[in-house]
Amino acid sequence: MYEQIREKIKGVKDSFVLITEKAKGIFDSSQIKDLKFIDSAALIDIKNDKKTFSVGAVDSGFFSDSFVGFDFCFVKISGSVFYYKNGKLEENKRFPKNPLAVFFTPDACLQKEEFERYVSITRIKQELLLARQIIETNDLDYFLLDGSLIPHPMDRLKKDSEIYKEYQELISSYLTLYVAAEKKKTRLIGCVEDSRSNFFTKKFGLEKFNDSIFLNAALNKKQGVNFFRAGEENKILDDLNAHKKVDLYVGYVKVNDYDLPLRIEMIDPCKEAIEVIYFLASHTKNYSYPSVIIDADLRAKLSPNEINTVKAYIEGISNIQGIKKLRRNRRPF
Amino acid sequence: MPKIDVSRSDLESLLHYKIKDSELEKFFLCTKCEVDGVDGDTIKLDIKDSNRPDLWSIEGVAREIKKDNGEIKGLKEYSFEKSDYIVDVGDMKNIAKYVAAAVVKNVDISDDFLISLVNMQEKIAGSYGKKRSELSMGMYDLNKISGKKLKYFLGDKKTVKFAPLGFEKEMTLEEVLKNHKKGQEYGHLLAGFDKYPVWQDEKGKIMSMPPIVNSNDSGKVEVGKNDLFIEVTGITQEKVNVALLIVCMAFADRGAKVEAITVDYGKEKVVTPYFAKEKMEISKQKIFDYIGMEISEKDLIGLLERKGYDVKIVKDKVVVEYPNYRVDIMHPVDVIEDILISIGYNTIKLEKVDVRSTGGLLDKTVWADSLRLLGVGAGLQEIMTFTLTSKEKQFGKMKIKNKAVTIANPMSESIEIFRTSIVPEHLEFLVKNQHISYPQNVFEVGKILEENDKGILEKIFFTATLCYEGVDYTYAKRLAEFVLNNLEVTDKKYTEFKHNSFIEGRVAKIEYKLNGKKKEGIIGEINPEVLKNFNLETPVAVFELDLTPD
Repeated sequence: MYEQIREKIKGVKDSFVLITEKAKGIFDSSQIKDLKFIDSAALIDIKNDKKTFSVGAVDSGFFSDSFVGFDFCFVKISGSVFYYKNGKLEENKRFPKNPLAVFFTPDACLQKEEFERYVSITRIKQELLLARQIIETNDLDYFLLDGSLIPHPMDRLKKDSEIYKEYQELISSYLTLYVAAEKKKTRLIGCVEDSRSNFFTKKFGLEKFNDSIFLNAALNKKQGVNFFRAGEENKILDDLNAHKKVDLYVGYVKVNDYDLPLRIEMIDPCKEAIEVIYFLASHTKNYSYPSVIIDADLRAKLSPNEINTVKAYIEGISNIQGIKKLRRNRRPF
Repeated sequence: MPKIDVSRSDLESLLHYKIKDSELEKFFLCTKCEVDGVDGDTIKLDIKDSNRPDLWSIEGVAREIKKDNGEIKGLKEYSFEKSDYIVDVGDMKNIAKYVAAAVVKNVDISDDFLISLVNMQEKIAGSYGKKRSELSMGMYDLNKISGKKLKYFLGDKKTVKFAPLGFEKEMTLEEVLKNHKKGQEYGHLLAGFDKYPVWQDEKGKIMSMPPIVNSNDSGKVEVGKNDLFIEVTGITQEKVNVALLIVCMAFADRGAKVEAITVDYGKEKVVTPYFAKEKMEISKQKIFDYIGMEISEKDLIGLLERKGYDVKIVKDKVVVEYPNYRVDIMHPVDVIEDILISIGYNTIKLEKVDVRSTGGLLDKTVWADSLRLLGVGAGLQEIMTFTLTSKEKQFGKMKIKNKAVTIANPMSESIEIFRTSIVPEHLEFLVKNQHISYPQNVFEVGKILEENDKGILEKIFFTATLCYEGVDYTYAKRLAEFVLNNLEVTDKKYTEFKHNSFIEGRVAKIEYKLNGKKKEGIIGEINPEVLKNFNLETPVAVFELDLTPD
């Protein structure tokens, strides 16, 4: 088994060499030039301006479990806002002051896979709700989401699903957020932590790899791929477009030598956003992620103590009420 | 467990035969000893019993082996001629006021025997005497003691002087504690007293200062032909006699002549050492039930005699007599254990246990576990404290009077009763954790015993103790409500009342019905005087709920 693992990893490393060769000069290739970049430039060299701007972000922590007769999750949401003046952090705000975990349980008895979707949708709905509240009550230039700016394809439920209404509410939550951001002239940016997109690699016949690995070979530090419009055939976008016209734009930014480029998304794109993300993510040499999201993430994270406290309470009350744990959780061996 | 080193050659001379190397490992099983290692002539023994001081010497081990192989049959009696030595015991207040003493004549002390004597003395005073806090022992060269009327009394620590072992110069008792190695090691046993115990001969010469050190003169025993004076001082007459008896038997087994001494307490006189027989009756069936087989009367008698018992069978009862130094025998099961050792644990055949049932938790345990989960869910940290405790902690420091189930034979004052409340135990926990950051909010679901007119009731209490600057009744009430509401109690009622352990006006009795049964609890802020009694500086609020499932 270990030999198999070693060979696999070695193969991945060898393929990096192949990718590096294929990535040379891609920005002059016809495959790239055909893409519609905003203001036509594909490759962006990032300037190191001392920027003055405000930015907010939300993130969440969650825990889910199942007992006989009910499933539950609890979710903790946190938001942060950073104000920069001439490249220096002047002020920060946090929402709410003391984030607390909130308990959610589906009305219906769900299949395991559906419950996983329920948890995912519930968490994102809560994030979007807090994001909207922060945007509406502050005058921000940018607002960052941890992940895509549209629902994840996995969360797109079939119409006969027990929790289809949750998906509908999720679509509605995104649309409401877009409207609120538009109204307050706050630009939304989605930061995809570990993107698996293969839009570029498909074009160059390297389907086995994802774009982040490919673009890592094509971009130097402090370079970015300008925003271009994401694929036309996207059922999620269709679901959004059924209510409001939404276009999704995608860009990449390589912040430092030791981390892969970060995929960023916007619906109202601007080149400056790439510089803003570079600025926010360039605090360490080998990790590129915007500091404002990290701040929100740290406060949203559920500590083992918080998880144990709530789990203990649920288990205690379930015992007292005579509700047993699932068989797999009370094996006598 | 006690460990002793024995000289193989010395043991073989006591047994009058050689021990085969191949038998060494199992040789000592009948003495409850395991061989830890062999180093030249030294055999290191690990004694698997901390209640048999008679086995903590080479002589004791040899005696037990002789019983097992039939050389000693049944109960070996020891009798000691009375000497004309007398010990006059003064007013000892409460310091080691009991005495036992003996004279041993014609002792041929070899190097091995001297080592054995010192080790036995240390082992008995250290383990049986709990590091000399309950008894200590001294041995003296009788020929250096003047007269036959010896005194044991409290001497002034500033004026009474003698030269302790290893020193030529005389020191006051106070200086001995300060300057002598043993004084530094055991001085805490005399802390707080102005006068210290001393032994003095008829000419007024100080022989020793128990439990610290002997004098450098008569208190020094050397190799060769000797007459010895041995004394034991301690906290009970029984304990000092047993310790002396064990040592005297060792001398007697080596052929020395032991003479008893009269201890004069003024109102009463005791002759020590005294050997006595104790008696116990055990039903035969009980023995068979415990050992898992039936054996003939003849075999039963044989097995018991090999462990040093005199035995009679009277109808269905086995009547055993055993020596008073067997302080480990408290119950028939102790005698049955000896029968099993005599049979040999190694000879018992393995048998499958025929049990057709599945294990599980008692409903009461499931309930208590659920309450514990609820406590954790309330954000409290669970602790577990001891159920056996002291009156002083439960009542004295808490400024209350109450009844408690008391232990008949407590080993110490700190474990003399079963707790009636968990709160005092939590206060002690907090005292020990004052170096940890606050808040310290802890809880425990545990048992208490309550004694009332109907008898003794075992109850399950949920006790939460909240400790930090600013803690108050309101916070304690909020948590108590959390627990009670989750248990869906009914008819809940808070009544203000007075309780010495709590601040007046900040304490309430809670009455409620749990599953239809009336229960009550208490909630409030701890009285600062109580906190002071525990040496606690941070405010504490508590609630204690009776959540016994009826």
